[in-house]
Amino acid sequence: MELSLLFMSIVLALVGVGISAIASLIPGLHIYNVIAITMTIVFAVYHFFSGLDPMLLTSFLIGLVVGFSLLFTISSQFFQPCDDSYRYIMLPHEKFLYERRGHEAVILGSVGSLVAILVIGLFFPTFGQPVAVFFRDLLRPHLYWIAGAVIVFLLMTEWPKDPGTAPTALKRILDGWIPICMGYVSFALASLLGMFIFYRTIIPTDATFQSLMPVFVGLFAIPSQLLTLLATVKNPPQHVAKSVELYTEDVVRGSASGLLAGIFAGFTPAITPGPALLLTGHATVTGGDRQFIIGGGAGRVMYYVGTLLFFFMPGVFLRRGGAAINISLFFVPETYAQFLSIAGIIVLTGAISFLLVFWYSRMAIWIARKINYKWISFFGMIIMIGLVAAITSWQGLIILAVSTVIGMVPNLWHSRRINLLACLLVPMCLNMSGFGPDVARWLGFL
Amino acid sequence: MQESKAEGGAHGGGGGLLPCPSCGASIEPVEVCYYCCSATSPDKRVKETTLMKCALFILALGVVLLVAAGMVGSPVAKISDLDVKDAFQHFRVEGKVTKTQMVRTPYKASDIYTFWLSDGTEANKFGLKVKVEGPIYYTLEQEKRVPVKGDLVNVEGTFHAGKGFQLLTVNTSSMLEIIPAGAPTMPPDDKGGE
Repeated sequence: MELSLLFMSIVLALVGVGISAIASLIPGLHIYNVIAITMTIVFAVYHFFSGLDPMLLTSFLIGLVVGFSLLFTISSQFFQPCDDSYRYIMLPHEKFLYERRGHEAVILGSVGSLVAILVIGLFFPTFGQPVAVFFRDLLRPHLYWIAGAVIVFLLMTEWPKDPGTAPTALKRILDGWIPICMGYVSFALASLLGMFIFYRTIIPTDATFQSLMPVFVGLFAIPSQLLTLLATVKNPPQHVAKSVELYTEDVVRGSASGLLAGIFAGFTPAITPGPALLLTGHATVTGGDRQFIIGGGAGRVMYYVGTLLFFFMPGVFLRRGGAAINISLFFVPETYAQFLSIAGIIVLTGAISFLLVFWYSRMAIWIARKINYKWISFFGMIIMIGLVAAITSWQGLIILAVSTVIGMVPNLWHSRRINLLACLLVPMCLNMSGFGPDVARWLGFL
Repeated sequence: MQESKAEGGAHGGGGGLLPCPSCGASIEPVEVCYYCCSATSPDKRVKETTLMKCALFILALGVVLLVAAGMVGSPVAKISDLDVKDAFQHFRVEGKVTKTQMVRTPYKASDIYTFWLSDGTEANKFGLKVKVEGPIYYTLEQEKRVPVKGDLVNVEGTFHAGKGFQLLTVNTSSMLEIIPAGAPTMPPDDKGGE
């Protein structure tokens, strides 16, 4: 590979990290949305880009994804405090925020991310290809029932969250069962929405490469921001710790569950790092807040970045995640040199993004002190609705509205938001098992 | 940057106390902070600077990978080694052009230039078929690098194979090189591109 091309690729990847750092300030904004804008611009001025080596645009997108996977949780850490009126379960990073240890939670998560970057840099170029081919061939015929088993796991692990203090037995039964049943309702509604999107989407054809964008913004991002607008909780002042409590066992066990979750989510379509981490947390018996947070950081990077690298592995032919799908629209990597250069760019930008975290977290704390988090969520919501409208037109706004209503159900009835992933899991499981078209016909979508 | 006040913070106590290294609350010198349950002893904590040093070490690994990417090239494969199991993989082959063919269409971009390459190992008469699509062909023509019969060519691209056919597609003009007569050629590898 030419040196000038390699140098330009590194520069553009760093530009991508810079843009992802700006985008990550908006809680709920996903980097795939930023990639969607990039691709829309690229398609609009195609003639300008057609003369450039595809490695350059690819490197830019890689920089976006790597920077995002390390930085995007920092804004939600500080700008979306948990209000117990709307969220029944407080996750460890939220607990850290209320103990004035938000910065420490950010650093712990980033340690997991750094471990994932190291694993990607060391093992993917050496043993990655044969291992990826082995697991691809092993899992391919079984993916439909694995996805089905994940669905069963999600449904059976829903539990009553009410402490059972109501005065009458009937009220206690209702308090126990209503959140569980609403979890199943949100699962069913999300499944129905997913089948509609897969078989009869109303998104304009020139925007179908982003047909899932309004669904995910509606199911997850907008409800979170609406709840932040309604929240009354006060953001406690944060202490910027110069050191973190960290043990080798935490790093090893947390990273192991996270890496396993990222790889599992990468190999299994429709599984995202969240449910995968839930599964691998059980499998690896992780315990404690620190291991949970480290696992989350490792899982995110392995899923977004590690599985993206599979796309560049010669002879593996695995295209997983929105970034790989978008890159495949203009570039099909083949050579070992291209794979190595992408791996190098990932490790380089990953390490730089990690160094950026220390400053970025301090900046987020400063912003949270100066600007009311409600305003940040309000502007974030406006930006995201604007993006959906710009990319997917008014049809996307209709899907966004429907998704938002479904996305509010778990938040208002204290069931888990993970059930909303049925919008991907159910159609994919049905399609892989061969029943998808029959069910779609039965639902009247075909 | 110290966001919270170490002394007299939100849940801190009075004077003569130490700030908890995790939450900043003022506490007595104890092993575990009684507000956030963090260990306060320095040997149970990792400094930010140590983590930064780890990141710099990993950054160096990235540089090593990039240097390797700049040095690595696709090894030359023997034409006889390529078979249907290698379909859609990337290969480099080297040999003499035995035959050429130009198919012109009403659209320049759809024109196809094909040549056959022999390295002496192939089973068929003319060797491996190599396809050059219109836009790449016209770039090669502009650069006066279109291979003709008798030229010694080093070319890499995507290998397509099925029952009764084998084909190498050149993806960019930079992946085709005409070797001047007398220049040293690359030794064939057992099987390149893997």
